[in-house]
Amino acid sequence: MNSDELGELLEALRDGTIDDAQTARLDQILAEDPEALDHFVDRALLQADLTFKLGRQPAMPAPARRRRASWKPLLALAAAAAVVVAALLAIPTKQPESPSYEGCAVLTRALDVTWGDSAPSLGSVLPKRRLSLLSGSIQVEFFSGARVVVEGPADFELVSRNEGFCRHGKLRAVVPPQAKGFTIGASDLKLVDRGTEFGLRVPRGGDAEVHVFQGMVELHSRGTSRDLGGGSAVRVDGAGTILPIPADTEGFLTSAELTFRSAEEGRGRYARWESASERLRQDPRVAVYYSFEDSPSWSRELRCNRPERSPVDGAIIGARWTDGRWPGKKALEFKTPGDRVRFQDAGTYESLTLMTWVRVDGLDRPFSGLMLTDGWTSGSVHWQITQTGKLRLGIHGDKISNDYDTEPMFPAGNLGRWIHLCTVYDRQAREVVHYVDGRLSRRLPLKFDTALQLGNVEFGNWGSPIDGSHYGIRHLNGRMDEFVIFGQALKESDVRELYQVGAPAP
Amino acid sequence: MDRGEQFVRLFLQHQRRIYGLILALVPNGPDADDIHQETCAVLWQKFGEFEAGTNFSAWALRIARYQVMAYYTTKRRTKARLSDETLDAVVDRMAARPEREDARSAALDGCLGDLPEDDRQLIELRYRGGASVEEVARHTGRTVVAAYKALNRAHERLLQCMRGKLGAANA
Repeated sequence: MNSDELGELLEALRDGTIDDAQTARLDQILAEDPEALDHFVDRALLQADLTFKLGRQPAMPAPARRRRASWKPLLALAAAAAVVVAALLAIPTKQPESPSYEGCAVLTRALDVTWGDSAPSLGSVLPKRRLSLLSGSIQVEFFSGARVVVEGPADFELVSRNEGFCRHGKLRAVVPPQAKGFTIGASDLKLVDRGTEFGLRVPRGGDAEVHVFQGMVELHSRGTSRDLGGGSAVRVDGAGTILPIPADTEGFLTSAELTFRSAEEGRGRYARWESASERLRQDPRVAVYYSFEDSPSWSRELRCNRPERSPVDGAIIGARWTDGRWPGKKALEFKTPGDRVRFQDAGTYESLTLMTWVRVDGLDRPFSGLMLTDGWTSGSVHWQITQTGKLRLGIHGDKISNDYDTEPMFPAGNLGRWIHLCTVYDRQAREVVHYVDGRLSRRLPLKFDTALQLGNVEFGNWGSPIDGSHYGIRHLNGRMDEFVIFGQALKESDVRELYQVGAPAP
Repeated sequence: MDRGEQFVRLFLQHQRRIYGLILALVPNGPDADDIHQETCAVLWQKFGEFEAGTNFSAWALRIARYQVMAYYTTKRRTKARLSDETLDAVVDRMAARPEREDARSAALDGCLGDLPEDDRQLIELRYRGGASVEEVARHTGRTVVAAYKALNRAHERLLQCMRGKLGAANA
């Protein structure tokens, strides 16, 4: 038996177009070949699963319509079904597909930081891990509500959603009542907060200092504990001796100062990006450019920045203006299934580079559209993210199509932060190359080569699927604040440079 | 838990494979729905005969099989049909499958997400859109023969992925 024949018989059976000879053939295959029988059962179960998931579910009995004597129990069934279905829905059922992560805090500020080991991204969720700062300052917001500003050089460990450990460095913690019990350990002591604001300084190889600015902190050291009130400060030496010292309120960077200085730093980066954006507008390699900057915020048009090449302003449908990578940088937010920006491009491309800055807030749909041409026919380009978090370039040639996927690249930590995505379709080198945040993510050989034509295109959604058919929605849940299409394949070094000049933070 | 609840709980747990059996034997459409409803009614009527703790799946599938046979008779279908022996074999094989509806559903979600775009569109057309193979052919600019092949490929790809995710031959 071959699986083609069996599968085709099953499809024909589903449609009711199976004829007598085919039925006899199916019967014969199933009777003679146990493997075929297994396969048939597999397919039948898959068909039922798909019907339940995507299609119309079979109706339950409708007792009132029936004339048979059985209507009474059926009424009971209907009643029981109503109750039990409700009850079953209320039971927190296992959700094996529900994503989870070992997060305990979010990195919300990072100023002039040089990381000692792997650098987490600004805005990302931090799992339990050590943060090693050679220099610079960061702000970490624990899930419990405690907020900690750490000044480098420092070695600070996230122990849980309400606990940290400082090997060395300087930090200032603000602990609201709901994070009571927030704990910070150091080699010779442990601080348990009772709703306050305090500073901790742990010099490398020196004595630790605790400064309480407000409220009350329990200091545990060498088996003893004592309460420190607002305005007090102590030094704890290696032997556990506790000495009062003058409180130093000025010596610890506050959250407000850090925010102010980060905003200044952000303005510097924004200005640097702006001049790079000006250069991009003149760049002969650029075919389509939307900087998202030139439209007033009441406008429903997305100004194109290469009028001589892509003469069409994008029409904004549903999406709303909001902040982009920096305060003041314009972006569009895509949230609901109708949201999209629709534009047009008349070019034909041998090779193509797609580049965007997006903040993906969630992967709600089987596909989240970045840029999709209408339909799915010869020359179509579909650039999107799959629900499993793979960046995908789908190319349609003459009666043939192929998807080029990265590995999943949207763990929970990558949601809600600005990310640079770039995909190169290179007909000369016969490859597709994906870059994430300026770094090579995946290189895939071309399955076939074809010139690409965009025509009508949408950002953040899919314009028109094949007429008359039913497709799931593909809207993006997130923000976009720059989109460039280069009419040629960019090199790795070009992509890295574009990333660096646009990165929201170092 | 009263008997009604017990029944509905068991029924909901097994309804996919019951429907799976019916769909493997009868064209998708009003007839399959009728058989499904009838089966549901008979299962409830006879639930008193079901011994708690025994294999509900085997019991329910056997009843569904009789409903399919009854349908063959009442329709007095001239068309050929699967032999009783084959029906029995299908029912036995299906009843022997481990019950992992939650795991199956999760695996299917993942596999649908990983499916190449072309295949996914075919599956969407076929199930969400309820298109026949002929309609699939028309919508996608294929010959009917090619549509059969393409649908088959999409299903096989899903099946392979499901097997991988469920970690056993019993996808």
